[in-house]
Order: sequence, then structure tokens, then C-alpha cells
Amino acid sequence: MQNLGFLYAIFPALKRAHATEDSLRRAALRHLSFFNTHPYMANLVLGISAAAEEEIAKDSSREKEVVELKNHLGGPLAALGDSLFWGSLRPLLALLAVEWVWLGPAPLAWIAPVFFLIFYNIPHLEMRKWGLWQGYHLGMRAIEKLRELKIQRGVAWLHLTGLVCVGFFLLAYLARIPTGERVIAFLCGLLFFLLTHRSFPPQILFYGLLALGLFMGAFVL
Amino acid sequence: MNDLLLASLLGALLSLDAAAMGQWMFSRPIVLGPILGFALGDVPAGFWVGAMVELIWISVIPIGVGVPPDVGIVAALSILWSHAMPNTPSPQALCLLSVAIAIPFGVLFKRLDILQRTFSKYLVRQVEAGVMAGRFQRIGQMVFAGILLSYLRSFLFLFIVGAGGGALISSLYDFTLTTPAVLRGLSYAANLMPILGMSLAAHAFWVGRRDIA
Repeated sequence: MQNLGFLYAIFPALKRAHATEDSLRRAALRHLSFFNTHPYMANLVLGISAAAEEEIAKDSSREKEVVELKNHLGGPLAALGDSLFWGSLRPLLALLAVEWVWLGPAPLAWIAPVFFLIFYNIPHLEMRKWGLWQGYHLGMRAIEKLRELKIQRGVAWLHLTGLVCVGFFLLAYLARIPTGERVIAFLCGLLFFLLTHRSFPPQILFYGLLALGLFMGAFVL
Repeated sequence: MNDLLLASLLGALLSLDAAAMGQWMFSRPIVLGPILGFALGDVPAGFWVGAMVELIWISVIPIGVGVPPDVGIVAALSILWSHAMPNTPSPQALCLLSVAIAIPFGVLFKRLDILQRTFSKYLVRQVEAGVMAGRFQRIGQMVFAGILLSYLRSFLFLFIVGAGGGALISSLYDFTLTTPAVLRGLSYAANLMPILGMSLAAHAFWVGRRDIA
């Protein structure tokens, strides 16, 4: 349900592009149509749409194009943004931050959220800026530029880096816990991995861990 | 200021970042946790809870069918309940307990989303009417109204559930601290939390590793 936000964002551009109130009104209603995509990638659509509106102001027969454009771009951009930001960058940085809290010195724990915010928001804001700028100045040609970014490759590299980090943290973590518990910890890890693979939701695994702990506390420890 | 009120006001404000405004990740538990902990005077609890809640849903993408609970709300409730915990050598155990109680409420909160969608449709109709009448300031007004509604929803939820759950949490803490088996068990589980997070992250990264072309 991002249509209202989109309209709000693009409205200053609409005002600038359309000379008559009637034209402006039609433009505003146009951009109230259903729209949904990744919030950071939406800027690309915003830029392209703003440029398109300037064309439409001169030649109103092209009105339908911009809505079609939005519909076509929304889905693929959402998938791209989802896999890059939600699926790769955020989990990787979150993992690093959490591990710092867990394994690092307590007085320096504040570094974790600061690090997370800085290294997440730099690419985030760059993407927003890039999208808006390229979209406005290049129009549909910005899509080619987007392809040149090879985001899918970046995603795969982030995932590989993530795996390496997990390996590193696993070793560091296992080194810190008492020897007797290491085997159980490792087996738990394998079990969680398998259960996630079988689509068990994380909160179920969490409660399972809780149950395991209570069991250990009651009968073993 | 009263802790409950402060936690609800601040927690709701930070939660706005999740969907209503920005997505700068201030609503993530690893950020919201320490901030709330600092505001309530218990920074360690803020970090423990923040790290734990972030770990649980570290690999979850907020799209598709299996909608996770609102992680910010879960973290905020947990910290609100655990910040005033009695002194104990294993605070992580009590943090884990409050997270366990907070999760169902996070799920409930997400379900309330549906009510908000109905209101959003009303907002869009208002904007349509305004635009057709040439009153373009409606756009900004309704966007603001939507944000305000999100904020109120989060604030009221945190305040009511935070208050209502307080007594339950207190008695659970007392029970835990007086039952060594439970305390040991919770500490054990708390120490294993990173394994859970690492497994989930590993799975998420494993699935995505292949596309280097």
C-alpha cells in the first residue's frame, strides 16, 4: 500500500511539470493507483516517473505509459531490493553486530549498533540517491545501468562472506564454552539448520531451545 | 518519567521506522534494544534482549506468507519487562524469559495490522476526494494521519501489554530465581542462543550462495 507515499513523494515534481490544475489533478490521481515495491528501489521508479510526467505534460496522450511503467518495474525491483537489502546486507551486518555483543568486551558493546547503522545506511542511502538521480536523468535507460550494477553477484558475494563469518564465529563461540557442552552446541546447530531447511519458523526453534534448556536444567545439570 | 510511559513512547517512535517511515533500521532489535535499555537505565538488558531477538529472526525477510511477529515490539516489550529485574548472576536467563513471553504478543500485534489496512483505504479515498476537488494538501495530511495512527497503535499496544504483563513477569522471575533448576535451564538456553542465530544465518546464506555467474 505504498501508493499514498509515492504520490506524496512525487507531488512536488508533478507540480513543477504540469502547468494547469486539471493536468495536475489527473497526474495526482494517476499516481494513486496501486503500487508496491522495495522502499529503497522505489526511488528509481520515482525518478523515472518524474521524468515521464514532464513528457506527459507536453503530450498528454502518453498518460497511460507511466502507470504501465510503474506496474512493470514494481515487482522485479522489489525482488532485487529484497534479496540485496533484506536478504543479504541486513542479515550479514546484523550477524556481525550480534556476535560483537556476544563475544566482544562489554563496555564496547555500543560499537555493534553504531557499526550496524553506519554500514547499513551508507549503501541504503546510496541506492536511494542513485535511483532517484539516474531514474530522473536517464529515464528507462536507468534500468540498463541497474543491470550493470550486477546486484545478483553482489548478493552472492555477501552470502559467501556471511558463510565465512558464521564459520569464524562458530569457532570463536565453541572455543569459549566448556568442553563438555561443545558437542551438544554443535549438534543443536545442525538440528536448527535442518529444521529451518524444513521451514520451521524461527520462533518455534526458539521455543524448542527453551524447552531443551529447561530439560537440561531439570534432569542433567 | 514513568518507565512504562517512556518505554511505550520511545518504543513506538522507533517502531515507526519498520514500515511507516524510513526503514533506516532503527526499529531493528539490535538498535532499538540498546536505545531503550539506555533510556530505561539498564543498558546490559537492552543489549542482551536486542541481540537475542535480532538473532531469532536474523534470516527472515518481511515478505510472503509466513509473516513474522513485529520484532521491534517483541524487543520493546522484553526490555520493558526485564529492565527492572532483580539482581542475579545470570541476567541473560531472565531476558530470555521475557523474550519468550513477548513473542506471542508480537504475533498478536502483527495481526492488528489488518485493522490498519482498512483505515489506510479510508485515507486513500480521502486523498482521492481532496485531489479531485483541487485540495492537494490532503495528500500530506493523510500521510501524516497514517503515520500518527501507526504511532498510536504501537504506543497503546506497548503501554497496555507492558502494564498488563508486568505482574505476570514479576511472578515468573520470582519463580525462576527460587527454582534453581529453571534458572540453570534458562541460563543454558541463553548461552546456546548464538548457535540458533548462527544456524539460521548460515541457512539463509547457504541458500543464496550459488548465484555467482
